[in-house]
Amino acid sequence: MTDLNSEAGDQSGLAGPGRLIRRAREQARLSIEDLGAQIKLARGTLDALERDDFATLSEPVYVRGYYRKLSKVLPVSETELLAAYEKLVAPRVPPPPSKLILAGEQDLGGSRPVGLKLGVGIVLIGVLLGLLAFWGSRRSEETASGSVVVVPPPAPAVETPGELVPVPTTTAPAATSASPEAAVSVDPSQPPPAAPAASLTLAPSLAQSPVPGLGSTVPSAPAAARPAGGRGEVQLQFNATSWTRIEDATGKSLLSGVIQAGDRQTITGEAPFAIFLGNAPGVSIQFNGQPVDMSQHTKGNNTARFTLP
Amino acid sequence: MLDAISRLFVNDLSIDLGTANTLVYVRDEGIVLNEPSVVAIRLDARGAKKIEAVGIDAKRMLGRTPTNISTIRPLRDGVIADYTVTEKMLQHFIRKVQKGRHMMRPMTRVVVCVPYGSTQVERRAIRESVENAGARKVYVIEEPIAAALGAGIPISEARGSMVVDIGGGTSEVAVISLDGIVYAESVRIGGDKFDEAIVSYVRRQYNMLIGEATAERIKQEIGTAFPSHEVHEIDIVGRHLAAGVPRNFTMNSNEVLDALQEPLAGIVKAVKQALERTPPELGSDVAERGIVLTGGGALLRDLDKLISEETGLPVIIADDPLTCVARGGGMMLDMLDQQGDKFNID
Repeated sequence: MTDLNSEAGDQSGLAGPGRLIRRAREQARLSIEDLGAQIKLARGTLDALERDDFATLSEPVYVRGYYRKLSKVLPVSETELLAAYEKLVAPRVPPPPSKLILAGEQDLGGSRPVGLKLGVGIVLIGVLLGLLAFWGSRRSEETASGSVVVVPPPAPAVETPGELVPVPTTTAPAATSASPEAAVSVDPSQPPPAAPAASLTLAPSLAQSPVPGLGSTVPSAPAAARPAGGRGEVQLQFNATSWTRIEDATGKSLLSGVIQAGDRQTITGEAPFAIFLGNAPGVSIQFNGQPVDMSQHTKGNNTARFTLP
Repeated sequence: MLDAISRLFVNDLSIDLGTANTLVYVRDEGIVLNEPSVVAIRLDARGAKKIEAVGIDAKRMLGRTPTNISTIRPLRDGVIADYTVTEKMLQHFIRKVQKGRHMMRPMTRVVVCVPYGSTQVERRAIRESVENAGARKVYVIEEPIAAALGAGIPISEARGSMVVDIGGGTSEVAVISLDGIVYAESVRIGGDKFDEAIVSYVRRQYNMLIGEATAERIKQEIGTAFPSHEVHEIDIVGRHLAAGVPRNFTMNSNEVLDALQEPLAGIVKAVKQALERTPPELGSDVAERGIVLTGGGALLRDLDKLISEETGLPVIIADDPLTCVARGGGMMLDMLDQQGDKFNID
């Protein structure tokens, strides 16, 4: 069998590396089986190598590898074998892959399609605009129902708790943005019909806004100042700048932020109010017209956290 | 025609960002850079860091620097260990490759290889590092695929091919068929582990301390993976741990073989495990044609013989095993224009 193969090799691979291999193998007195056992190559592969049967053999990478292995166990040099092989077979470019094989990371890659980037951008802008609109509408709602009245310190007339006219919630938007002219103070000694002409000064917006029964409510101001039901009114006079947060019974924030010294705030809402002052000694508070003593709530760092009533 | 014009403005690179060496392949030109992945950083009087040297120049400084210069290997186990330094190193290499070559090609596309076993975070770090180093587009491919392509294995065929890529930080074992990985395993054993094993053997047996560079030299000159009648020797100078002074000693290849037993066993185990888990049809293809070794580790003497004896299969070493991954990435670059639209990320 071996002899038959050898003869076939002589006929087909005279000038090729197969002949060199067979000669070296015979020189080393090795049978194909022995050689195959040494380099772990199948008999068929060794036969094909000796016959230079490159159609049976695999890609050049394997063939060259086999030659290298054979040169280690046979008295034949690697360069001689490879040179003979190159002479017989034109160098072939390794076959390219049939497709681009990218790693799994590609799906999560940093470079995303332009369309995707654009889409993400549009969605983000949309979300941002939606948030802004929501925040704006919520703020206007709060302003409409939160009844924050800014009363500037230089009051045009001497005030007493009873003299302060309760401001209907409907006037709040105008009053909130009002300038010092928005201050409403009424001298009870003046007859109601004469009020517009006397010391009462109204901002145009407030003057145009409906103040139902202004004339009739003024004489009974002390009673009217106390809101009906669960509602209450907190007045804050800031003698020093202080961080202030006031929430009503529903947890709605009625006032939050740093209020400058000299400001005066009137808050109405559902009692009880949760109040937090950053600089309690610099703030004086009246609840429903009654002064509130905060000394027992004030901590060493001047903060005060308490609930009214 | 349009392709030819567009290629005037495109600069295609394939980078094998390895733990030990970084190779850059330029399309139509071949491997143009092969330098160690080492960076030397100088710390000035104000505490600011400055790149002193990169690549070969930095490797010469390894273990020989004054206190204000430190040599860093920014990759460990095949992945980025120091992101900023890796980025600087890549910037340096890309500029070096492009210097006077592609000044009129502003668009740089890069194929970069990652170990099969790397995590998403590690892959992302490599991608972003290459992007920040100046690449316009980055394509990430797995090392076993690139190694098989670079070795010349026909991976598109419906035949099983096994490739074992032994790099500086990791060894990848993969069975590939029909352009896909059927089974792959990545073990964090590579040239670095070989060096560490030699350092610890010398300390244990000779009570001497040698540096990584010396261990690497021992491995390259007399390292072997299989016992042989031919014994090689090397003269080494190390610091005697007890005396504290430099001393000469001679080491032979059988000692190195003894030192390398543990990491070699890890690689053999990974190969055997891959064979166990390979479907029988593909396994018979592998048995018929053999296992292909790539990567710098394949240059270790008789490693093919070791794996062959342990598995009973023919094991062959690819042509120029060190550059297989970079060349395989280069073959992928050729695919970008042909199938880029289908798989393109942009």
